[in-house]
Formats: sequence, structure tokens, C-alpha cells
Amino acid sequence: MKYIFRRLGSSILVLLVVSLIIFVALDTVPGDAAEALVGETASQEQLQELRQEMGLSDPLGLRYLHFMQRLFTRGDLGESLITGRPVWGLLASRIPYTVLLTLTATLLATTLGIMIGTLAAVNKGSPVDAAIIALSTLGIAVPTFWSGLLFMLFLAPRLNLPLVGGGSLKHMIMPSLTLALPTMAVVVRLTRSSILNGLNQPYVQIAQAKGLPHRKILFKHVLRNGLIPLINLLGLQLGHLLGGAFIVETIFGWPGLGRLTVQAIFDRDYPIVLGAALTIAVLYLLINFIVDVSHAWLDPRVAHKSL
Amino acid sequence: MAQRIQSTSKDQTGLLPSSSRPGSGNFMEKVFKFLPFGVRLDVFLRHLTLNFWVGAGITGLVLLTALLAPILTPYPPHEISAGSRLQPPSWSHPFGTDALGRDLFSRVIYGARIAIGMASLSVTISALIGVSLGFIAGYYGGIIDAFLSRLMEVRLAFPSLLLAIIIVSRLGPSMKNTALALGFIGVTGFYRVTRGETLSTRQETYVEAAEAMGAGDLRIIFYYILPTFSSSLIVLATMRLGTMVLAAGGLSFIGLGAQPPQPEWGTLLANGRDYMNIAPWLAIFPGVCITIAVIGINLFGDGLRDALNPPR
Repeated sequence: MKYIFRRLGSSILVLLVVSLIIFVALDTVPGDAAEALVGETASQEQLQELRQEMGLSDPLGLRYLHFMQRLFTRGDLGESLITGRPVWGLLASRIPYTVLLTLTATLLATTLGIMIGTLAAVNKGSPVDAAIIALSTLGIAVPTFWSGLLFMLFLAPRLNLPLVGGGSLKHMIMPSLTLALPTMAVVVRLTRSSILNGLNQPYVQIAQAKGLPHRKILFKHVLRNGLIPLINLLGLQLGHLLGGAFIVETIFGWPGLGRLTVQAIFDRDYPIVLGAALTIAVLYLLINFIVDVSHAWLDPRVAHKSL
Repeated sequence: MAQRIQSTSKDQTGLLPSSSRPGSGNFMEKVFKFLPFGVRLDVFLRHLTLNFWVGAGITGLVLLTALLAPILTPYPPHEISAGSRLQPPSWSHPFGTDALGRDLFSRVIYGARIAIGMASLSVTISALIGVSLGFIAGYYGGIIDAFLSRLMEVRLAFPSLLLAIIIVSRLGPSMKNTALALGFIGVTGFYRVTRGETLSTRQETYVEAAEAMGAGDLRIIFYYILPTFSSSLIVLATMRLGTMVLAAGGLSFIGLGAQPPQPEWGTLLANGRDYMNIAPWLAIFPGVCITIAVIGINLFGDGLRDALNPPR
């Protein structure tokens, strides 16, 4: 419990620093919001007036405080420079799509990855093992922006899947598969090596000496301990998955945060970019918090060590 | 002094601090027996696997393609030919042509130049910044170390590719800015290795001895500490190269990297996506090239790691 609170505290601290850095990085963009609003015809005085009004001429630190104050008191992230709609509303409509895509991909990558990795480890040295190793090498090297296109070219016509768009289960198949592939390849490798490593441990030899059936040793002793490094890996991989989601959403026209952000970058609609960046930071810190806590729960030595 | 240290390092691991080398043996022996980073050549060669040679072969081929692009290409990469739009692969256009009649084969070959250029530039930036900061943190310790290490933690609180996207959106998308952004996000890896190794090597007796003899900080860092883990740095840099080829391609694909008409592999694929139904070859060949290049670099890195840090 103490561990959870400490961990939570440090996460919030990091989040504040991250928000400050993102704010400074994105807020000092040349050609500010006032200029975008009045257009090129306005005089310098009009521009100055509007800047005053919008608080753009305040010092950076003050603007950051204002921004945070609005965020915490009213949950307000400002408005889009293009459409004038509140940023939070835009983000809120997109977040579920990205979370759904990322979680499905994670689930696919871990379940299939553990299964395939176990298959390889059990058949160590056989052609099956060699084929799985070769495929995982390929899986790590194939970029998502190409495997996505290949799925669209060869898989979609066969299974009669829609190429772009989002919403239905049918729309989910290709994007989540595309996003899952590289992570799956990494999970396969880790599962294989941690099972092979686990099979050499003394407790496995004892279990064998006791006469436990092989299947029981594998699933109850080896695989369970092998899951711990996997959970650590997952925290890191979820970052890759969130980043990968930006690319996969662009390929398949999936209406998530990634597409919104990339479009906003092209439109120079910085309030949206800022809001999206903060959202991603919160999501990622939350994921890592959950990963660390579940790690400590599975392996209590972790919590003791860091206290 | 050098003699005494020499006598302690006759181990068979092949990983010797270079401090044991100066002044010992004749020149030719040094050249043939040691690689420049304190690894024995015979040990290194013995641990090279088939995978390494395949990877080295592919990597060499990609580098050669990048270097010799103007000689290898049958057409100039930007040459527009109205008469040969969207031609399927043929003898005169091995990979077909795009919607402007440009030869895809020539463009893909120039793509190798851009991919290797962007990736190696970003890895160089990461390594220069990461290694320098790592030395400062590991060698001087104290407040500087605490500050830098916290800074790296904050950096890791944000997914790498997304941070690169934000930096690019701030700087404006171009090849140089994308390489810069990718270089920046790669700093942490080099920082951690360098800091950790510096911290532990600093305690070694031969470093203390060098200090006692009046060696300056820079001399200790570059002459006594750096060589002990330069092989890890080389492996890390090789591995990062593959990652960076993928990341640069991804950013270019979504429009935040190299800009059209640059024949970057990701840009080519983004273009291929638009013509997927009528000209599928545009969406296939650039992807084949990225994949082969990345597999080659990854195998090369894996093999290098196994040979430079052989299992004891």
C-alpha cells in the first residue's frame, strides 16, 4: 500500500514536469493564435489588442499557470483554432478509439505471443522452433506502415473487410493485427528465452524429481515465473504501441487520437496538439503505474527493494 | 605501473581495458591481435555466427547502394515521364513506375541514401549527446548526476515516437528536423549505458592509479574509461540504426519526415497507399527494401553483440 502511494506521488510529479515541458515547447510556436484568428489583414494595433485580450502577451510562466488553473478548475483545455470547438470534447470523442485499438493489439500480441513462444521453447531445436525464430526476426523488422498496406492488399479482399474507417468489429481486425505484429514478435522471443531459462532452474529439477507431469511443470512453474519479465516488457511495449497507433490510425483512417493529432499538426492547430500530448502523457504514466504495481504484486521483493 | 596491470589481465574473455595495452607488445602484434576497442581479434572471429555474416552482407549491400545510387540507377529519381505512367514492373522498369511516370527502382535506390543518411545522423546525435552527458553524470556524480538522471526519467515518461512527433511538429517537418528529433529521443539509451559503465569503472584500481599519477579528467575518461565499454556502445549504435530506419520511415509515412518528392521509403509507401488498387507494386517494393535493410542491420547488431560480448 505504501508502495502504491509513493509510486503514485512520483507519477504525478513527473506528469507536472512533463506538462510544463510540453507547454513550453508548443506554446512558443511562431505565428500565434491571435495571428491565426485575425488573419493577415489586421493591423499591428488590432493584433496587440487581441493578444492582450487572449493573455498571449503575458510571460510564459503566468500563461502556464493560467492554463493549469483552467484545466483543473473547469477541465478546460482551450478551443481549437480552426473550428473553435472545445479541445477536451474533441479529445474525449477520440480517446476511446485509440484505447480500444491499443488494448486489442496488446491482448492479441500477448496471448498469441505467449502461445507461439511456448510452442517454440517446447520444440527447441526443431524446424518449428527455427521457423518461429525466423518469423519473429521478420516481425520485428517489418514496419507497421508496410504490413498494414499488405493486409489491405491481400487480406481485405479475401475476408471481405472494409479498408478504412472505424467503429465496427470488422473495422478492428486489420488495424489491431497490424499494430500487434511487432510487439507479438518481441513477446514470442521473450517467452521462448524465459521458458528455456526457467527449465534449467533448480526448482524445475525438483519438480521433475518429484515426478510431476511435464505439462504441469511447464504451466504452473515455468510459465508463471516467466510472466514477470513479460509484464515489465509490456510497460515499455505499450509506449511503442501508443506511438504505433498514430501510424496505424493514419493507414486505416481509424478515428482515434493519432489521426486527430497528425491532422492538427498539419493545420497548426496547437491547442489540440497540446491537449493530445497531455492526454498521451497521462495514459502512458497510468499504464506504467499499473504495470509497476502489478509487478510488485506478482513479485513482492520489488516493493521492498524500492522502499 | 603499466607492467603490473598487464600481468593481471591475462584472462580469456577477450574484454580487456585498454589501459593494459599501452606500451606492451610490439606494434604489429597490437594491430593484429586487438580490435580498437580492447577485444581480441581471434576471440571476436570465433564467435561470429552465420547470422552475423548474413546481416553484415545485407548491411554492406545497403550501404553500397546508398553510396553508389547515381551509378546504379537506370533513370534520374525525379525524372517525370508522361508517356510511362503507372507502368507495371517490366525489364525497362524493374519495380514499375508511379503516377508521374517516375521509375520506382531508381527512387527506391535513392531511398536507401535517405534512409541510411537520416538514421545514421540521428544515431550520431543520440550517441554524442548521450555519451557526453553519461560521462558527466557518471564521472562527477553529485547534483549534476541527480539532475541529469531525473531529466532522463522525465523523458522516458513519454513514448519515444510521440515525443519525436511533437518535436517535429514544433520544428516543422523536414528530413533534417526529423533526424534531429529522432536523435534527441535516442539520447537516453546511450546516457544510461555510459553513466552506468563510468560509475563502475571509476572505482577500478587502475583508474585510481592513473589519477594518482596526475592524469587529467579528459585523459582518464577517453583513455581509461571509454575503451572498457566502447564495444557495448558500438553494438547499441548498430541496433539503434535499425530502429531509426523504421522510425524515420514511419514519420515520413504520416507526412512528418522527408517530404515528397523526396524518394524516402516511407514517403514512397504513403504514395503507394493512394494508388494501391490500380498500382499495387507501388505499395510493395519500397516495403520489401525497408524490411530487408532492417533485418540486415538487426542481424548484424545481434551478431556483433554475441561476438563482442561472448557468453562466458
